[in-house]
Amino acid sequence: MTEDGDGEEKDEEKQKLSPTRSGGGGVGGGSSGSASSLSKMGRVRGGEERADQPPPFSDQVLENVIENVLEFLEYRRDRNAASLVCRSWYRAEAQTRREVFIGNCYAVSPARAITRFRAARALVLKGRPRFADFNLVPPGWGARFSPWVAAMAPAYPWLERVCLKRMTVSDADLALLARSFPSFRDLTLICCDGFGTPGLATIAELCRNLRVLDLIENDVEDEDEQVADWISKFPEATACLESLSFECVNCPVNFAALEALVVRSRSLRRLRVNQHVSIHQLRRLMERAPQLTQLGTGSFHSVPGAAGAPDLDVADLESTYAASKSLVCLSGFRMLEHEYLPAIFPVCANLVSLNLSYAMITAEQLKPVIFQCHNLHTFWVLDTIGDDGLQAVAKSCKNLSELRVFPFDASEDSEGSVSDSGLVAISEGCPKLRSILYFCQRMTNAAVMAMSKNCPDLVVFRLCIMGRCRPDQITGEPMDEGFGAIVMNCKKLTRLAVSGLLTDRVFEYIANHGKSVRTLSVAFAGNTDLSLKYILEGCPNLQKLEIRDSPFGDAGLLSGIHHFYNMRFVWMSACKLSSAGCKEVARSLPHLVVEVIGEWSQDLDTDAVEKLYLYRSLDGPREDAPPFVKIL
Amino acid sequence: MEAVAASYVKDTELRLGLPGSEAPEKPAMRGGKRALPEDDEAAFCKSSPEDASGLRSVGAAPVAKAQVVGWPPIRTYRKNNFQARKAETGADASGLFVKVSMDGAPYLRKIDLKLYQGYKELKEALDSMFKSFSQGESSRKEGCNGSEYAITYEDKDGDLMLVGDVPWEMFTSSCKRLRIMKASEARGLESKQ
Repeated sequence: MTEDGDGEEKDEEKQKLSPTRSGGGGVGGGSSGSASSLSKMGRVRGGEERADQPPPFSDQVLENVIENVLEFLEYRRDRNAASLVCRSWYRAEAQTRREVFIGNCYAVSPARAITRFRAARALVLKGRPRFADFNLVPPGWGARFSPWVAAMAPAYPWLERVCLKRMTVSDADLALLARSFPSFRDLTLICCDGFGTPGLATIAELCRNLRVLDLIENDVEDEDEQVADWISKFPEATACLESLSFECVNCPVNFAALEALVVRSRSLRRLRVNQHVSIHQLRRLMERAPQLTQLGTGSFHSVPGAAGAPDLDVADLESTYAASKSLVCLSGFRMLEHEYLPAIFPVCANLVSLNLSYAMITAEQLKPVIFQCHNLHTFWVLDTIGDDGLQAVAKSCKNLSELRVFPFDASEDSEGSVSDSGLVAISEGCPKLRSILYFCQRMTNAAVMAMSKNCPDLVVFRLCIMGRCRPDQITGEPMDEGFGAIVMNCKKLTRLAVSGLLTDRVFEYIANHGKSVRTLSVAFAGNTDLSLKYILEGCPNLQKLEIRDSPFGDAGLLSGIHHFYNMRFVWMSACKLSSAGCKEVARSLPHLVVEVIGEWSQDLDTDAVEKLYLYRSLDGPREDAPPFVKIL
Repeated sequence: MEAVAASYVKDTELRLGLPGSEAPEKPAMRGGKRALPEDDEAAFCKSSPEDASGLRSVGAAPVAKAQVVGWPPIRTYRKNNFQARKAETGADASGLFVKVSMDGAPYLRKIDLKLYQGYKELKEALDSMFKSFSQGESSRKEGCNGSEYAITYEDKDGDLMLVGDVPWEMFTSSCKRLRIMKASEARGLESKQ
């Protein structure tokens, strides 16, 4: 499934750039290990300058010992903490860090990252801000993979793994990747664009050790119909594939080649095909690979009169599923034919994860399936199942941990098929719920409060009332109290998205109670700058803030000056910012990059700021900014 | 039929005339994009969801029931997935994003055709989007006729067609991407009708 996990751990650069109340760090030197900000800045600078000079002999021995110990540290947070102890540990940690995670590709230059982490085997890189998914960032804004792959090619001969999210990756980039790293084995691209099937063909052909090729929700564009038969490019010798996901590749694939690939990949565990794979073809693939644990079923649709094959009998498909004893995760169903749904009954009891969010099914069609899914932890579904369907989920899935209910008709004026009663039902039936994304039109404070009380373990609460500024449907009041209850009762909450009619009050609640909140999404909410002031002053762990169409201005923005260095980014669009306020922020915080993004025809020198995107950076303003971006 | 076609063509010509000179009056929603409410805080949030929906109020309060960019927050990927199926069932598609390129401009844009009711609004939107590029090309002033650019599109079959030839609904269901090209290059297309 799509991973929308916005990293819980600190970024690589956060530990270098701590809050500096005095507005700038001098070179403090000192390896006291204290948490004071100035010494952190200084130690890092000193450490970097000295990293190239070899330490005296006995120190070298000690460093080798530390390296051997630090190799066992896995988590970013632990590694970041270890690297702050002293210069020696900093060097040792840098030598042993295998996976480099960079949450904002512009926070640090490729050269700097590579210089520090010389032994990296894996790179995780995130580019565009999340609101780019909703067309709020003009295409061509940036986040290109090219400079990264160009810098890594000579520096990381042992690179094995790359994971990119919201970046622009060209076919040429993929070709360079394929040619430069003989040990390369794992490519995951999420919400990226800029490449097409020719790029995939090069990867398939040249990456002899490829184990994972996961393409998730990318915009795969083929120019001028230059569609490449990339599946056929996997050489006969490549037989170590463990995971192949290509649901987002919109063109048909060579099925014979795909089948042959599946047959020879005995280690294949995850296979997610696109909607051009019919249900007949799916069955053949499943029979070739009964060891699969995760399956993306493609269309789940039969092609009438397909190549002489008779219509597939549900019972036959069901027996195929019965033979797939290891299946725990099902997705796909892109063009589901309802008659075939019962075929998955044999695996339901084992399912941990089920994604029906592309299947237009009713509650009645869902019930026979969901009543057997007792072990489900993750469930994604369309709101066509209605409150009735959600009741059924609540009745059967007692271990449910993550629920996402997507709208079939994603428009403001849609009817909305699920409502407050569905939310209440889920809260009553699934007390272990940790993460919810819920699109609806009708909601009440009472329902949200009920969820806050019934599901105290919530970590992620994202409620989207699609009609803008809708109040409590019964009382007509703002939705402040509901969201307030969430931050009050759910002590582990780290991610929150609010919607509906909201006043400054809800932000006061969030500031007072949402102390663990790291990611906050706001749209069409609040009355005055107080809202922004509350959050920026009251939420010490806030790292990602995205706001659109809310009446917040310069005064609110300036109240965050003490905190912006702690954050990954702040996005504000269609608010009430002016260039004076944004310039003031840029002036006060030299390591902050403050971007004003305009539409093409708009004069970027006007006073009103349409879109603001600010983020900390160790390497100053980027050089690849397009004409519609002005860096203050 | 020819007169109608001709008026479509005229509607889609890009012009550099000053506002008011032969150009149709721009409604409050420029090009279908959401309007920035000025100082009217109340305009940010209409607290009466029972307003009659589906009305586009020209020149009235900006935050009417017209579609807003990127709201509700559903990824284009997901929207596009349902589009074709909704068209089959006859239900309203929720978004119809096509790429727009302009000869000479280094960057592409994407627009949602569903935001526009017809060719006039589409033309206005493209006008405002690409204005900064066409300004550099010529110094045409008010009163000049003829236009520098023509709007074309690539349809389902891959053919390049002039925008404005077919009824709007047919256009939105068959348009795959838009290209704004110099009028001289597009001349060949007109004769195809």
